[in-house]
Amino acid sequence: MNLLESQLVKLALKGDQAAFAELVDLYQEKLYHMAYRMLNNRQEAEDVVQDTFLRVYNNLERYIDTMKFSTWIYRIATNLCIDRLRKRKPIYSLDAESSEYEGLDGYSMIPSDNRTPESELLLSETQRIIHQAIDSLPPKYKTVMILRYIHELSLQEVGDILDMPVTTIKTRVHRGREFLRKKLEYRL
Amino acid sequence: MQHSFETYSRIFRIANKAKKHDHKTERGLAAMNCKVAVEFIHQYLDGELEGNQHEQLKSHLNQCDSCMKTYEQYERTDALAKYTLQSSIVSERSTADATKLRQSILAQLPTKHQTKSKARFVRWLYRYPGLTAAAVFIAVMIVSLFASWDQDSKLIISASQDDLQHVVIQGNTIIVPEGIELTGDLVVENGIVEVKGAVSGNVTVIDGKMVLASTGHIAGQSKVIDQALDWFWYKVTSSFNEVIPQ
Repeated sequence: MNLLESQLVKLALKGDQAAFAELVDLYQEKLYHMAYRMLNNRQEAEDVVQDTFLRVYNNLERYIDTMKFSTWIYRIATNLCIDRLRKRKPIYSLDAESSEYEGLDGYSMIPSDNRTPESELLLSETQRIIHQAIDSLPPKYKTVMILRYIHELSLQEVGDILDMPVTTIKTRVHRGREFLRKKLEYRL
Repeated sequence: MQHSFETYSRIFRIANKAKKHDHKTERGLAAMNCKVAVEFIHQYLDGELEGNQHEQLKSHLNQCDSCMKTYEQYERTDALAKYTLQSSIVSERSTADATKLRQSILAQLPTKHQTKSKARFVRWLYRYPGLTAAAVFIAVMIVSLFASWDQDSKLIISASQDDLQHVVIQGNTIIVPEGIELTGDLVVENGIVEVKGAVSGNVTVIDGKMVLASTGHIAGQSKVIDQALDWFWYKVTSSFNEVIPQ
């Protein structure tokens, strides 16, 4: 267990808001990054980060030292993301039938806000394919891939966060990797 | 899009089977079968491959062009995916965004001061469920014990049926008349006991007085209980006497 983090948690429990603010500083970027990749929407990602920290704060007394703080906070954040993705699902399946081609699939249906058009230009075709491929994954595969690729967490950590056995995570990483490879085949 | 992924997995599985067959007929020399090799490649990229498995995979890849190609593709896939997912987003988010979010989070925190001690207590309860259960049990026991001690101030006599017929009750005074012998125990609560005759059992008086006349005789033990502690002790010893017959 990270000593600094456990110290901050203890202080925050005593009502020290500055300590909690430090936890926010330590994790908000990581959580935002993950949430943005999961949801593909800035506003929703910000909302998830905010909700995550509020939940953490309100449940600090229930946090048990045996779990890493990072595991706990990621678990809360991924659950919030998965919930949002599930709520969106009906929209997806409605148009899934009509769009056979990648360019027209769910990606265009996501309530995304392209605030910075430059960033769109910076995306290479390869990157676009990767984004689309990951977005087309079912939420649980998507979460595994994002946690693995963004934060380079170990299989064990991903398993702890998602509360799933490592063997399941392993299978999902392997299938996800193969799926991506297939999508990228002619560019590799 | 779940649909497309699942359809795809099915196709992949079938294709994989076909691939394996091809390789077996093509190169019987390969010590490792291609299916195992692909599994090893995944494990290698996950950092899960162990010592001599490295060597096994290496020798297979050197012999099998197809698996070597797969390996290279997986490696690039991983690298590209990591690069793509890790890049761009952080630079797009300004520090102003981060500060804004931080401020909005901190502004929404409920003030914890009033609930602090309560929260700590609740946390303690969560942490030690066994102790919590024991404490609740003991609390219930003590409460029920005191409840039975402090019930009321009515006169209560307990003795055997035969003995009760011989006892004389005047107001709150219980008299064992002269020449009468009670065979069993006599317990009186909230009253005065005057023993003029004989009692062969124990006499216990709770919250009262006992008067033993010169003619009286108590063969067993006589006891007067006034205090809560004595009452408690009496309860404990009497229940022991019930459990363990002398």
